[in-house]
Amino acid sequence: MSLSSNKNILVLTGHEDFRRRLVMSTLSGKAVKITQIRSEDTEPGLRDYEVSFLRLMESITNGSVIEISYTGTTILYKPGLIVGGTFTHNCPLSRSVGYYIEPVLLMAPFGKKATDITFKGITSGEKDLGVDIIRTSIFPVMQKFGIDRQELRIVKRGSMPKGGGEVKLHLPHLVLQPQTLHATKTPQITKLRGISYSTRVSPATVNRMIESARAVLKPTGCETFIYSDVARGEDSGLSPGFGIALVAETKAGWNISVEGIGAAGSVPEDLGAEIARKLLEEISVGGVLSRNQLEMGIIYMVLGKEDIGRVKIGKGSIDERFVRLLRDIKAFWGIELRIKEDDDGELIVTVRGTGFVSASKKIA
Amino acid sequence: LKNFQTRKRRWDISKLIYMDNINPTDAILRWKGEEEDEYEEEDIEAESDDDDFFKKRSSSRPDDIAQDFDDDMAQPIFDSRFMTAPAGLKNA
Repeated sequence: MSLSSNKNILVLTGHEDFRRRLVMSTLSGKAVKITQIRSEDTEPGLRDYEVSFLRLMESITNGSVIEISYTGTTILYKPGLIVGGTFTHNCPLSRSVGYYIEPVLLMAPFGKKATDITFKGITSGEKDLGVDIIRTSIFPVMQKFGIDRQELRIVKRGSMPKGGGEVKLHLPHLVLQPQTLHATKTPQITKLRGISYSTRVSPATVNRMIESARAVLKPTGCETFIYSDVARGEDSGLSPGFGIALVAETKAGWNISVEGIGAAGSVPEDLGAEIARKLLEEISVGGVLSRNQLEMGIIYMVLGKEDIGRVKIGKGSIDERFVRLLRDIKAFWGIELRIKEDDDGELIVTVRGTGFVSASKKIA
Repeated sequence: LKNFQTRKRRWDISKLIYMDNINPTDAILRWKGEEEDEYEEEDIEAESDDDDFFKKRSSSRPDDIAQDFDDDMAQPIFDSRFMTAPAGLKNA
């Protein structure tokens, strides 16, 4: 990745973090040109899910200009105003609906009107956040920043590869800017919750996953309850599949979550045990924000008022993706975050908010 | 063990993140101290030939010593009889 600035247009390279860069462009109001998108690939240019995401950006904003080069390896995006609204988005089957919902959650609270989007496609995939994780783990992060009343209703579950699922995202709460966050104490885990689901397979599958996950989690001594959701008939999408999402709930209201879906030939018992072990691993990383919440938490902190916010993260949370996130924040807002090790051996990220105010509100 | 731990946390992650000349992967490796470990492993492997090197030196055969001397000496040997002084020095 490299970046340069050209006449008020930020120039970035590479296909990585495509969604996040467009979201940051919209929130910061800076136009962005992304070049060399898979230029060395045998199939260069944008993928179908990225084009679909651009369509979603057009729908959720007003006045955005998107120009794509003939080969699809360069894109120019001039952001418009976030308006929100009610519409349906058909997601391609290459990515799950989580790929589209995640960036919407970052933008919609700063829109002109409430957002109601129906997403159709795969509800839980391998690469993106599943709908259960968004509901149980991402929404609580938004609430910490003063954004609440959000709802994600699963109308139909849709498994890979054919999908056929449907979810309704409702974001009624509009805010001027996120609240400043101060979370420097590692929260204590109090409960373990989860949901085991299946579509078009034997209902016994969910119980097999639950039993094996419970066996792994039993030594923790935490109260464990895993719900089952067996989709039948029209609610079960077009493909057979199963999966499990586990959540560790804390006293302070932060949730740590992991998820896994059954691949072809995988055994439900193995999946349940594997995801339970992953949950324990994620808990061991430590910090307040877990790895799948980090991006949202940090961006909301950057958007906060001009005050110092602090959040604790585990050392294991720092990876290449985190480095790219902080570099992009510097490129779009020109601010650097401070990271210091605390007495517990974990890291405190200090952010000075940019004083962002929803552009839609300023005009209104 | 103490030295090992201090070496691992030598880099400040806050600075590494914003060093644009280092790509994110290398930044993380440096912070974790894994990049240097790789180099050390390579050096250890390279030094595995040391035993053979010293065996040659300890050989008592004069021919071997002479050959080793020619191969291994880094400093060239000059014969002063065939060396001419610079022109300015001659006049002085």
